[in-house]
Amino acid sequence: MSTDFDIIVVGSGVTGGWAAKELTQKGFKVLMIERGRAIEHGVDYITETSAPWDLPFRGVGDPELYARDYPIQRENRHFTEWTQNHFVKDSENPYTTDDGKPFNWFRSYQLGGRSLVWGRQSYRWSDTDFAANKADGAGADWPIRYADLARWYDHVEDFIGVSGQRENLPQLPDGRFQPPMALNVVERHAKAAIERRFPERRLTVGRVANLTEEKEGRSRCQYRSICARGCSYGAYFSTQSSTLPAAQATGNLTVWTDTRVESVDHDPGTRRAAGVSTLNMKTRERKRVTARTIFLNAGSFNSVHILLRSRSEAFPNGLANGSGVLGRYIMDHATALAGVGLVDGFEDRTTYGNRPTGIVIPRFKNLDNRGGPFLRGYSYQGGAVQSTYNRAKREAGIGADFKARMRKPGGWRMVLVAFAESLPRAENRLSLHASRQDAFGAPLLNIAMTHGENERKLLADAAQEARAMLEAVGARVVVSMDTPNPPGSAIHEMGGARMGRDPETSVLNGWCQAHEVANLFVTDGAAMASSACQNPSLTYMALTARASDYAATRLRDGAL
Amino acid sequence: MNRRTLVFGMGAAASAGGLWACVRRGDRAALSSEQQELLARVSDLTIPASDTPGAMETQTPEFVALALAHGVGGHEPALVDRLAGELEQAGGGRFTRLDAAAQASALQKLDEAAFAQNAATGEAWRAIKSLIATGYYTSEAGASRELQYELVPGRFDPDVPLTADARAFSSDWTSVDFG
Repeated sequence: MSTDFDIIVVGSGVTGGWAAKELTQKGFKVLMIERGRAIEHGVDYITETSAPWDLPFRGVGDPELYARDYPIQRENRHFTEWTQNHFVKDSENPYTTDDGKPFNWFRSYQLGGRSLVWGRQSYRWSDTDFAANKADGAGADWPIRYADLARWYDHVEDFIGVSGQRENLPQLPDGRFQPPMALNVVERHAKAAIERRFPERRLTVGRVANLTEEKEGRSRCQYRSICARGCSYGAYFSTQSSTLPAAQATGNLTVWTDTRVESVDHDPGTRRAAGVSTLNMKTRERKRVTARTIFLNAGSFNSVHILLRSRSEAFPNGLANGSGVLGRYIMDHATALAGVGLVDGFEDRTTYGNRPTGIVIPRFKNLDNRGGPFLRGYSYQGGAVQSTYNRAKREAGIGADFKARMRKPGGWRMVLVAFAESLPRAENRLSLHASRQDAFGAPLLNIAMTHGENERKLLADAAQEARAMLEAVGARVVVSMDTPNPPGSAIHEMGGARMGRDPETSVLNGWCQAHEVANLFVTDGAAMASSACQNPSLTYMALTARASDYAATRLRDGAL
Repeated sequence: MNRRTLVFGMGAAASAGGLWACVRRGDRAALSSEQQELLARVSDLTIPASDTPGAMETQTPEFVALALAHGVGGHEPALVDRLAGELEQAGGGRFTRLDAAAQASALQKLDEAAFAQNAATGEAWRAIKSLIATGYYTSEAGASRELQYELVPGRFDPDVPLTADARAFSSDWTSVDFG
């Protein structure tokens, strides 16, 4: 049967870009559909070089505007007057939550998606993570293990460029790194002190998708640390800097922006996906487009939302949802400011340049998943920060002496933020709202999620251990918290179409392929069956590259 | 005065851009002249001109007015009158009627009380001082002459001796967020 395209990729963010690159490079005609506006690399990074005094609200932003249009997005620390144009207006993109269960859903509907604003932290998972569900039973067993993904991690890191330090830790496998960024003077001190006191722990510089060496037309990092404005140097991985130009170079890519996918169309005769129904957000034109295979890369919750909306006689509860699992077992990470300590003794030291990453202390507890007071584990991200003019808001003083004092950098503080694994629980779920619809008649997505008892135990332990480590550093602890931030705050929302071995309890198989619809793949975070405690994007990319290779082989063999 | 009157009073400006244009022109008409004077005096006393421009040359009082009108930091225009009350209590008289030396002394006294442990007064001053700091150190002169501003450092040096004449970087974004 002839189709409009070989493959449709829904979404253009971190994983959509990867699917498009891999599949076009294998010779397939690919249509990439993006619901938001086009953003051209460099040209459209309109605030990239703006100084604070160029902006009406000096970078702080207009609270009246934010209250009206961005009440959720403004809670994201990457959301500023420089970056507000890279986030959705909540006022135009509503979703619902259950009473008493707030969820911060941070979104970027634009070409490149959240790849333009992501935190760029890039970590492999290990078999501590892939084996956890089976080991402790809190989740369905992953159908894959590290060995299945290792070469795809290699493949992704080689292409995107990840700087990092090799550490030889089984729980956080080393990758194919560019040279690491340096720890600052206080972090070096902290590393020595923590590792002396706790020999089984490690402090290392954040592994980050910012280049320390030039790469294929992309410049190395300029140490500005203003990545989320967009980087015309192409020094961090984004769709625009990396996968999109590679896909376009094949001549096999078509991109539709300002086009929302309303549903995946299912052909009950063939039991296959026939294509997608689209809505042009500018012209309001509705159109169907066909392909041999569909890749959903709309972002975890939006990929699930599309499947839930794709209802038919064959699949009354959403496409590929014979199991009833679709929408369930969503996760994030539970985060808390586990410790902040003031570090004396470095008043005569400073740094030059802005390093776009912090430090990491990888998971060190329960590595064999035998449990104990809690299941799974946590890790820390943070760093040592030297204060500057903000302390003028906290300190007494006025006049010439005060001004002279504020001219110099101030004291150092060491910050540790805990990232705790979020267990997959069935009651944490996405569903279609029973009555509320958006402006185009589509049922709103309802997000119902809370952090559970295990996450609280993890964060309590993390706060206690953070204090112990800060004390080992010689810091005076001034803040230590263990109450989880609202779900969504880590911006690692995932799950909802989990992969698994059993079609009765999972939506996808180990290739991110729907059990019930052979030519449908979901290769973003929706596929995740557990959350580990690492930042997940690198794993999403590796899963996408692996699924693309599998789909390509099956298409060539005529099996799809 | 409530926040809405201040916004509308500041000019024909319904939009932030229009309002800002008014503020840049120094049009602070929506504040009474006494309120304007108060903001100007406390800004000037906090960050005076030295070998670099101070709060007045950088239109910091105008930024404070804009920030209050829009609720930056959750603060409201009513804080100006509350600050007048705090200053009157500290200085023993209506602030704008005091001579320069007495004004400096009143603000000094309020500032010390406001930043003491378990401070019982000075809530309005702490809020307005924070806006003065933001306004001044994000102005062109405050950010790039009083402090240093480097958009493209090009490298990262992790350990540099701090010399006696060193100036902090207003472009150290991590510190601006967390410092």
